[in-house]
Parts: sequence; C-alpha cells; structure tokens
Amino acid sequence: MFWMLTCSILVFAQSKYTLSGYIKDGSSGEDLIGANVYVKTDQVIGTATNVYGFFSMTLPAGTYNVTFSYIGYEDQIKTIDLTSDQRVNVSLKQGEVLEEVVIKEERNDANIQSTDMGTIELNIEQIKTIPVLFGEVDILKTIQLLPGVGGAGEGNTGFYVRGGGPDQNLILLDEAVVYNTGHLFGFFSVFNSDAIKNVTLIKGGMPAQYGGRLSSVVDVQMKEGNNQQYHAEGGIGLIASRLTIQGPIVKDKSSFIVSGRRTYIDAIVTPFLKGTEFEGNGYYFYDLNTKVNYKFDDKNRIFLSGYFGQDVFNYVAPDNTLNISVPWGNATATARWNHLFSDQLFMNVSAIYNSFDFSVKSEFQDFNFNLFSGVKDWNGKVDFDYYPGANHAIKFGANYIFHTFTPYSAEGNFDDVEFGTDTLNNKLAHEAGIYIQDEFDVTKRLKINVGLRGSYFAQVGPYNDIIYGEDNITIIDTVQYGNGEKIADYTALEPRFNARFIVDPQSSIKAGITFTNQFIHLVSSSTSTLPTDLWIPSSAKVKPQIGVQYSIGYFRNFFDNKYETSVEVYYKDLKNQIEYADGYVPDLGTDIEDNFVFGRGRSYGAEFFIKKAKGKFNGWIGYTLSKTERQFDNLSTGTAWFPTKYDRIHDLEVVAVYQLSDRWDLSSTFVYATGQATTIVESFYVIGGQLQTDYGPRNGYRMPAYHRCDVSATLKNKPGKKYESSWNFSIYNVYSRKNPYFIYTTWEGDFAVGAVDVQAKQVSIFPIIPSVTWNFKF
Amino acid sequence: MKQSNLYISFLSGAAMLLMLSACTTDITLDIPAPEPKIVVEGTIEPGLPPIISLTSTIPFYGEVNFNELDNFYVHDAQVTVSDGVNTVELVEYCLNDLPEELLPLVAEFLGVDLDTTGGFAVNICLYTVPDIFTGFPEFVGEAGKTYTLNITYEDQVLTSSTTMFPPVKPDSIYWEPHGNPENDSLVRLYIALTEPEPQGNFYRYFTRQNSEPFYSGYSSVFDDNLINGQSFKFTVDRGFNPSEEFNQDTYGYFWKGDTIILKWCSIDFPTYDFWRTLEFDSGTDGPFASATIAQTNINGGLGIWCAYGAAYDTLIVE
Repeated sequence: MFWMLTCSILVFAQSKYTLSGYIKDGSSGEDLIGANVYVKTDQVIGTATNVYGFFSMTLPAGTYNVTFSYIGYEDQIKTIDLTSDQRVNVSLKQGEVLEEVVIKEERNDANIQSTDMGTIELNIEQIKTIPVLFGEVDILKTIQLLPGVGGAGEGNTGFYVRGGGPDQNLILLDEAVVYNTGHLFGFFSVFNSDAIKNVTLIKGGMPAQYGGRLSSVVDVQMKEGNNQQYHAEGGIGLIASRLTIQGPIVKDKSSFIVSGRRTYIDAIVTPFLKGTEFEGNGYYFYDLNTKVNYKFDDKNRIFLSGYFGQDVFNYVAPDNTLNISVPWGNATATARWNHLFSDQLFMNVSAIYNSFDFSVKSEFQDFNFNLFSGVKDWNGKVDFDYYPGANHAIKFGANYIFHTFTPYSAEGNFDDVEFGTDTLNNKLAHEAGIYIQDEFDVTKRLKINVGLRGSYFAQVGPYNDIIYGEDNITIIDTVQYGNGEKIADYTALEPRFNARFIVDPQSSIKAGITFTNQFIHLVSSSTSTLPTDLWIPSSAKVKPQIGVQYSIGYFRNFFDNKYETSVEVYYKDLKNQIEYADGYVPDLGTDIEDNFVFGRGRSYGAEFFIKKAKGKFNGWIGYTLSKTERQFDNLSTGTAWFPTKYDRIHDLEVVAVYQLSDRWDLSSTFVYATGQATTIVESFYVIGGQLQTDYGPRNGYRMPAYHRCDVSATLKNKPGKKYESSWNFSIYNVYSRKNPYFIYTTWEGDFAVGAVDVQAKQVSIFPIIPSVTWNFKF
Repeated sequence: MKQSNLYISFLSGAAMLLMLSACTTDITLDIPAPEPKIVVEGTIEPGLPPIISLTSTIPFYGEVNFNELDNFYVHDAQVTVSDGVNTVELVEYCLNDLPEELLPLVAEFLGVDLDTTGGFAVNICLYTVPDIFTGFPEFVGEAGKTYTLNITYEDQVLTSSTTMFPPVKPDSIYWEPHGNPENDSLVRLYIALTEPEPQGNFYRYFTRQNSEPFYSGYSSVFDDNLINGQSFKFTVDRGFNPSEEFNQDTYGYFWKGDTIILKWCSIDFPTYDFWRTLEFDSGTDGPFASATIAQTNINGGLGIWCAYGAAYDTLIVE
C-alpha cells in the first residue's frame, strides 16, 4: 500500500497547488466538522473538514469557484485563483435550519458519494427537536432511533449495535473513552446536550483510526465555546436543570465553555417517601463539562477539555443503624495540540485521562464495609491527516493507553478486626495501536478506503496469580509478577476495507470488511446496563474479543436528493464472548476471571432506511430485520445457539419533524421492537420447605413486543429579540403502552400450609409521562 | 466471606426507586409444559442416618395443593446410600402411616414448627434406613467419609455423592444488644471462630430459637477465602421460618430471654455452591437480576445431597 501511495503522490506532484484552511460558524467561531469543500469541473472534486474544521485539497493550477457548505448553513462560493498554495479560512452563516433554499444541489449526496457505510452524523440541533423522556435531550437515545441500533431497555441509554454488546461500543467524548454512559441506572446519558457540538455514529466499516471495540463508534465532540461573544444558555426541566456559559477569552483566539447539569429528583421525591418503606433513600446526579482553546497562530492550536459527573445513591435507615452511600461516575480530561506542518499535513497530539469509579460505603453498627470497582486510563495519541492530492485522504497515527482495572476491591473492619481483598490486585495493562488508511478514487466510479491497524495488548504486574488445585477450590500456589512484568500479551492485525461504486448519479453500491479486536470486556450479570457491571482486561485466562463484519449496501437518492434511501445487509462473527457461568454469585473472595465462560457470537441482518432531510416536514423511517445469537460450550445450553438479550428480530423507528411556523416545531417518534429474549421460570420445586424455581432454556422466552409513540411541540419566542426562549412540551408514551421492563414470578402460601398460588408478573415502568422544559439563551 | 448482601441491598435500593413509577400486572406465560424432574433433598449428619425426600417439579403456574397434586412425592423408588464399604437400601415412610410420637422428629428434619402450624398440612414422605425406629440405626454419618447416593425410579437413574467434613466448633457464641437503644428487647447473635487451615473450608449455619426447629438464615453459607486461618468475630442473622411473615425491623434479631442453639456445619464445596446459588437466586429479582441456576449436585435431577459436619452450641440471652 505504501508503494501505491508513493507512486500516486509522484504522479500528482506536478503544477498542483493546495487549497487549505478552516471552516467555522460565523457567529460562534466553532469549527464545523464534516463541512464540504468542492469544485465542479468536468467532475465534482471535493473534500470535507476533519474534526478540527480543517480541510486541504490539492488541485491543478487554475481558477476555481469553490463552494463551502454545511448542512443548515448558507453556502459560500469563493472564486480562487490557484497559482500558489493558498490558505482560506471560511466563516459560514447559519441559515434557517433544514430550509430547502440553503441546501445546494450537487453535494447533498454525500451518502451516495462517500465510502462510509453505516455512518451517521447527528447535528445536535436536530437531536434537540426529537421528543424524549422527561424532556431531557439525549444523544444516546436519539441514536437508538437509527436502524441497526437497539435500546437496552425502557428509557435506557445503553444500546446494542448490530447484535454487539454495550461494551462493544467505543464511546468517545473529545477522544476520551467514556466507560459508563448512564445516569440513574441508564435512564439518562452522561452527555449534556448543551455542551455537545457533534455526534458521529459508525456502526459498520469502522475506519482504521478507531480501535479497541468490535461494534461501533460514537464520537462526541464538545463545543469549543463562542470566541466572538459571551452567551449563557440553559434550561429548567422536570427533573434536572442546565446552565452553560461560553465566550471569548481573547476574541478570535481563545474561548471557553462551562456547562453544568444537576437533578433534583431527591428534593422532589424525598417528602413522598416519608413513612413509606422507601424512607431514607436518596438519589441525585450532576455533571460538569468544561473546555478552553487557544489559537497561537494559523498553525498551532491547543484545546483543554474535561468532564466530571457523578451519581450518588444513599440510604440511611430511619433508626440510623444502617448507612449506605453509593457514588459512581466518570471523569475525563483531554489536552490536544493541533499543528499544521504544511498545507497538506495536519497533526493532532492528545494526552487523555479518563476514569470510571463505582463504590459502596456502608456502616452497620460497628461493621464498616467499603467496596470499590473501576477503571482508569492514561492515553497518549498522535494522529496525522495527510492530503497529498485531490484523490487521496490519508490518515495515520498511533496511540498508547495504560489501563488500571479494579474489578473488585473491598475492605472492611469489624471492631478492631480488619479484612480486605489485598490478595486480589488491580489489573494493569498496556494497550497500543498504530494505523494507516487511505481513501482514494480508483476510477471515476470506484472509490476505496483501505486501512490497516496493528494493535498490541499486555497485562502486566504487579499481580498475584492464584493457582487452584484440580478441585478448583484449594489454592495450591500464588505466582507473583513484579512491577511491569508481562503476564500475557496479544497482538493483532486488523485490515479495514470499504469500497463505493457509483451506479448512476443517484445511486451507489458499497461494501466493506472490518476486522476488529477488543481487549477489554464488560461483564454484566443483569438484564440491564448498570454501574455494577465490571470492566476487565484480557489476561492469560480471558482472551481478546475478535470480530469480523461483512457488509454490503445499496444507496439511492430520489427527487434531487430530497429523499435518501438505503438497504444494508451485514454478517458479523464474534469470538471470545464472555458470560458469567450458570451458577455465578458475586463473591469478593474469588478473582472475577474464574467465574467466566467463553463462547462465540454471530449476528446478521438487513437494515432499511428512508430519510427526508430537507423541507418543513422531515424525518426518517428505519427498519431492521436481524438475528443475534451466542453459543457457549460451558453453559447449560452447550452446543446450541441461543438468542442474546441484544436480539431484536424486528426493529422499526419512525421520526417525523414538522416546522409548523417560525415559532412552532412539532415532532413525533414511534418505535416497535420484538420483545427481549429472557430466561423465565418454567417450573417449581420444594427444598427446605420453601418453593424454589427451575428455569427454562436460556433466553428461551420472548417478552411482549415493545412499542411506543412520543410527541413534542416546541414554542420559540418571536424572532429578533435579544434573547431566545423556548418551551418544549413533550409526552412520552402517548398511548401509555405497558411495555415489559422485566418479568418475575411470585407466589402466595407455602409448603407448610399445603398450598401455593404461583403467578407471573410483568413490571412496566414508564406510563404516559408529560413534561415541560423551558430553555433560554442570551 | 460472602458479601453479596451489600450488592443485593444496593440493587434492591435501585429497584425500589424504579418501583416508585412502576406498574405491575399479572400475565400468563405462553410456554409448553416442561417434563417434570425428580428433586432430591437428602442429608446425613454425624451419628444420624441418611434421610431423603424425593419429590417432583411442578411444571405449571397457578394454584397448587400439594396433597391433591398427583405424583408430587416420588413413591416406590429404589434408593441406596453407600459409604464405600457399607451400603444401605432406604425405605419409604409417609406421615399418614407413622405413629404420632415420631412426628416431632420428622418436624425437626423438615423445619416445620408443629406448635404454630398445629400439624402437617402435607402428607410428607421420606426415605430413610429401615431400622430408624429402633433408635439405634446401624448406618449413620461419620466425619471424613464420602457418601454416594443412587436412586432408580422407573427408567430414571439419579446419582450423587457428598463428603462429610469434620465439625468446626466455634470458640464461643455471644450476643450484643440492638444498635438502637429503643429496641432494647432485640439482640444479635455473634460467633467467635478460629478458622482452621488450610484454605478451602465451607460452612452452613442454622439457628434454633426456643422450641422452634432449626432454620437457616437467608444467606446461610460461607467460604474461608478472606478469613482462612484467622480468629475472628462476626454476626449471623437468626434462621428464618419461611412461613413467618417478613418483618424488616425484627429480621435477623433474637429476643432477650431466648434460648438459642447454633448449628454450625462444615460442608463440601458442592453443598456450599448449591445453597449459595439457590439463596442468591431467591434473594434477587427484577431488572438487575439474571437467572442464577441453583447448582445441583444430583446427576439426572435437581436438589441436593449433603453431609453436614455439624457442631452445636447453646446460648441463653439473659
């Protein structure tokens, strides 16, 4: 591939000049990500800005009418006499969102032209119009409205992409990995929409720059802060309020943004709990986003960004004998330096810290007990964008992460006797990756994006490996590994390939193969996504997850690109998937690794998508037909394939947005999904005079189908005022469908009285929920 | 020592919050009736003969009257127990056929409090040694031995084995008052134990309050992973009568004036694994729980065949 690149660079190296620069929002100075730059000669030649708003394209000398465009913004056309390398910084003006006039004709077929498959960019303004639970705008819930993405449960921000587990999604906030994305047991995501600029979801054809996860990438960029004027915006909602302040530190050079959010569920609910069995329970969450940037000159810029969020659940027994506090949360910090070596070579260097902690602190009379689990990463990263010619966009780079995992750590004391899990250490690991990828036109019709990623992972000491005897119970030896000593390591080569073939100006066919390796694993014993789920690294016993995805799709636009449609089919093969063993019980006395079983997974399906992106009336319909299964030799299912909890045979989403007038926006969503596969109690027996339950086949029962309709209406104040104010009225679950959240079994009577009455029950959590949120900006 | 209780309490706290807005409805599960399985519950203790109950699973939802249920008890099975040298063939006895004076003994084994229930609601049937009523049965449990169980019923064969570990008697047992002085009539039971080397011991406990039978606690088994070889003190919940109504304020506590007998049993790993999985499964429910399958040690069936290396200690709370 290097040889090919070098050749093509030489061929193009004569009498060509480079046009490069940044594209920004005119009023806020925010970089625009994925904005288009193109010229039209006998064919359209174009490029798009990277995540820092930078573009570069090299063209033969000549005079060009260059168009700069971004969805929701007015186009700018500049006439450029390209007789030398030129730097052009462009500020685009925000048009009426999604108005037809703004949208130019030729380049609005990015879905047809690009090699991207299964990639969707969501603009935060677009997300804000879609109705959500309690009026809390949530990017992770909006993502679930896309085909191929399944929700983890009622109101949950956890999601499954094409049959992959929630841990197989790489969720990045300004390049920092977010390990736990949910507040309040997953009902709200940690992403405060006011601080977010852009969200990209990649569910197939993952480019080589991303690594370490099998299923998808959700790349979230925070706003940089307005470098022109000071602004405050916020909102007051039913359960949480938000406030964001942003503005220039040095105009055009430096800006900041601070954004905070806190719930007041505790304040609202506590009075109602008094005297009930729930008395003493308290809960709240908050989060804080900050970012500053400084532009030294046209070639150097730095960004510092951070996120801190916590959930706190506490319980104080009314008589004060028991006191439990359970805080958990994420913290991330990212420092980045952008440097332009030349008009064609852009570099970003990042230093990133991120952590997720979960702890339980309890006091029961003279017994103290603390439990802690978490993960902490130090991450260094360098990425280059190299644009040698109009035909090539090359990316290469490397990264290194030092992981510290604490699957369980417990300590406690009773009177003066202390105990702890000091024999069960943290697990430390090095992870490194190196990649190169190039996107180029082979012919006028055929464009390919080919990449290769090399990855390395090693678990290192200090660590005590406990060796059990043949009975798997008695400890016969403990192998001690010293500081930095290698315990187990893995290397992998991950080829990535995507191709696009233009059939005619309105349609294209795309195909891709993606090999991925994942060295860290989330193990969950619950049917929901929870902060108690544990992150663990690959080790001598736990092998890396390996995934291969094959996909092919047909993309076609209708009526001057007003309607975008696509059909994609995929097949995904997964190795080294992890589950807890059948009889798993959380036990601090054992290494978590000894409770796992390993197996295979497969997922295949077809996704149908039709989207109307323009006009007063817009939205989309997505439908997915798919199957997702696992097979574990060491579970009771043996060699049989069983459906996973991620399996949704049918999955339909309809999103409709209508701009009624300058002041009123209406929107509605409808979702339908096959019921979750779950394991249910099939029969009963008596042991110890008590009724016990015997389960049916693993995930052998389908809960009733999930469906729901939400509506919302937004009323904005009259245009032209100094401040913006809007009211959002939304209704979640309009027809109050009792969707199953879980099913359980209960009985009355017992063996001693000679009779029992056994009943299955379904719990549904969110009935119809109206909500109102007031948002402001000035 | 097991600390899943806290984990459960966190999750149940979480579940409680959810329940505030939740709605529960009765549903009918549309599932084909599974084949019934044979359930074994058998014990052997030092100086006591093997006692085995053979029942059948109830493969449906709805009302169940154990006396009207056809084939709840598995009759006429061929049951043998062997200690590797001697083998005994067990015989079946049903309550309705037994003399009155033997009923308290049976109640003890079954954990039925005849004082409160006023008698047996179900015609219970058990398999035991043929010379049980002599008072001096020949085949009794002995620490250090492994007991294999063989059951043949129609075309089904069930097998299991269990090892009786030597009893470990606590150093002492004592009580402490309730943490809240307002509840001064309630006390907690504490155990001081010197846990013997090597690592790999497992325990199950039962308590007896006055004339009640022995009951196990909701979380009744322990391993020695964190406490191996140490001398330490800990508290255990009062064994819980399953037909008693759960009361959060008094759960786990004894009362002043109680006579408490602690039965502290050494058990083998399969026994430990069965009870901890069974108890964990019945202790968790809801969205945060997954089905924990009780790890039976019965090949070809469900349930448990366990040898208890039992030690006893008595405490009068004054």
